[in-house]
Amino acid sequence: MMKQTQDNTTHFGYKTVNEQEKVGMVAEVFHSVAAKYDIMNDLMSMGIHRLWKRQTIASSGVRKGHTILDLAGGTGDLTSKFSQITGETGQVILGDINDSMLKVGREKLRDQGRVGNIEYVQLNAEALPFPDNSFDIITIAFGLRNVTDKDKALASMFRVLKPGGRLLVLEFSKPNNELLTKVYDFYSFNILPKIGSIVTNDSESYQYLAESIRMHPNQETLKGMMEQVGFEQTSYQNLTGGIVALHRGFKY
Amino acid sequence: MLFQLIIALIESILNQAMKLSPQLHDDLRAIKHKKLQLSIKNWQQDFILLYTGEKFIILTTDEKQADCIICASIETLLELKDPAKITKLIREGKLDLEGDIQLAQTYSSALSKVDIDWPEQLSHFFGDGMSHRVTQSVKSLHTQQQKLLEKLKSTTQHTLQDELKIAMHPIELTIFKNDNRQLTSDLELLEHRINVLMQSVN
Repeated sequence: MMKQTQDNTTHFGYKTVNEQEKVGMVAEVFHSVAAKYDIMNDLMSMGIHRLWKRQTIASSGVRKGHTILDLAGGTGDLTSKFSQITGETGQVILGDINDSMLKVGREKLRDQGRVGNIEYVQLNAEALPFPDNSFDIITIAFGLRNVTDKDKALASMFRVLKPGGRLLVLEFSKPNNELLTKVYDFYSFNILPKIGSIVTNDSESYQYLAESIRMHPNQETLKGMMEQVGFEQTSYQNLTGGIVALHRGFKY
Repeated sequence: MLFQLIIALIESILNQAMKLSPQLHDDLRAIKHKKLQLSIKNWQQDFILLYTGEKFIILTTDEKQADCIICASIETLLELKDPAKITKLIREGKLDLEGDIQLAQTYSSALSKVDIDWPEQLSHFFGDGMSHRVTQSVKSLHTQQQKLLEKLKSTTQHTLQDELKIAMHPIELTIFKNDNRQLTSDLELLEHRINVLMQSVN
């Protein structure tokens, strides 16, 4: 299991930092990229992140009236789609620890006319401020790797999920092909920071992105972590050769 | 991921059609937020079609989780353009339907009524005159294509149904043989006469 070291240190990319420091450093990264987050997502993934998110919605089993928590929801791509499907009798909560990302997300969704069934909450995934058994679906897309204590966050998600509910974790993972791994590594460490530098004038944040992906648990480890906190019928689906994996687990 | 891309494109086309044919909203209002699941025979993946009140959403799924589930081949699904055929197809065993049949009928009826006013839509880009000419040309091309296809179909049918005259009839063969024998005999006679003539000359 991926775990923090005994002296309360954790990873920030390849660096080992104090747990408290990581929170601030991650916050700094997202304050820096929030305004151009969507453009960068499209550029970096060549638009494929939209297909990964479509797959997440498809695997969620969402229906009218569902209550959904979109953790690390950022600029609200998943929230937007969920709010359309769940309708006025349902509710979607867009939660993010970073207020800059929340502001960008709220503005974007309001511009799209998505109002009425969406709430915005600044929260820490490790200590979700909701009663037990509150949500039918919880999603966390490209957010778990930035969480300091992943086990604590998964346990917190398990607590607030309704029995029968499901958690979906969409996150960068380990490619299952050697050639793809080499190409992907070259792209991540050489091209990605350059794109970041040109578009957001911030190559360090994208260097962190590449490093944090490498430090994130692989498919099987994350599946094990989900089982450890109580999720059942856990499974994962590799997307784009394992560059991204979609993990799914149920609470019974 | 290729599958998701195709689904996204189909969803986009459907939503574009909805923009160009706004009466679809009225036709689909009753089934807002209801899920229609299409399970295509011999395909590994099921699809969910959902109308949200604003647009269509199409999702892939590996679960049975809709208000109405239709299981059929792709050819049968194409026949569903006519809502009256649903019951007939079920009776013929070509279509399995679980759940709310009205949902399937509403979708079928609404999508079959899609009527896009192309001259009006094109006039925004090319002006009235040009868009009228373009529409008429496309219609005429379509009619010609339909005629050509029908002709081709009819020719193929005739070719397949009618017995082709490839081999000679036995009577024709007998006549040919007799004619051939007669010709040989005439040639021999001619040769004999020529030989007699040559000898007399010499």
